[in-house]
Amino acid sequence: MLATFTALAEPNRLRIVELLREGPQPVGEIGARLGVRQPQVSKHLQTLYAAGLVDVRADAQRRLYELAPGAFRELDAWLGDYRTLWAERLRGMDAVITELRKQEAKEKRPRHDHRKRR
Amino acid sequence: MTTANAADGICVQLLGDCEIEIVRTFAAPARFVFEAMSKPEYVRRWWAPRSRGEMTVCEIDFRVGGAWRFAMRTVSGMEVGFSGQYLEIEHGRRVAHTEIFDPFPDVISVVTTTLVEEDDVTRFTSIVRYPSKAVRDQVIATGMEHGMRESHKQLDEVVKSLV
Repeated sequence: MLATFTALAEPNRLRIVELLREGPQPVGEIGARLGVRQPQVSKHLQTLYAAGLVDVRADAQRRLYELAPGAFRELDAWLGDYRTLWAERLRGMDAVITELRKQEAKEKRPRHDHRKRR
Repeated sequence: MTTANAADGICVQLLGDCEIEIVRTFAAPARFVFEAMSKPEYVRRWWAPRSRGEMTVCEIDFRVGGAWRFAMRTVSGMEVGFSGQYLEIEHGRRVAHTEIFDPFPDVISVVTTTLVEEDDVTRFTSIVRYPSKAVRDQVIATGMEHGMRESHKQLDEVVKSLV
């Protein structure tokens, strides 16, 4: 997970990932589209590959880079956990609210008991 | 990106670069929701979910300009504290306050919570605005149970592509 974040923290690598959302691309195309020299692009792609964010496959003479789904599923889980924290909090708030409603209903109820006891 | 789950009824969404929005409905009039979120004796009962730890500090000076402070001890023994100041209070409808996470005293976010009541059902919307995208994304990561706190940036575009 840390590797995923570190890999994406570099702006050019993030731009590469965004570009690959359009579909698989060869190194030359990525460099041309982003205005980054090819050796730099290759280095970034290596880092992204090591982090499990991109896959590479051969297509005739070219090597095509594409997004690897696994690491992105982890990112999805990342936001999901924040959600879980809030879901737990708000469920706890639900319990408090239910109690407050009961309390209010009780306070509003006229107190017959006292009169009857006399 | 939106993650919604019918089971817990909560929707968490990244808005633009710097915000997180949390939406949930409560089957109760707004005055109860407002009470539960603004009085310390009630906040104590929900802010630190039992699975995550125990609330150790819950101070609320509920007036514009008043300060608040919440802290918890996580199950792994870490002290986690937040504090801030109330900016706006509209009874039963809206609260805005600043929020500072102890380890980063210079990073001030603003939380605006609005309650909209209709037919005894209240829609709770809380928008947290962070000073930068990097901070927001880090906050989401620290919401993880495993205590991930590495810094990282610019992820929401990536996350969006997954949905």
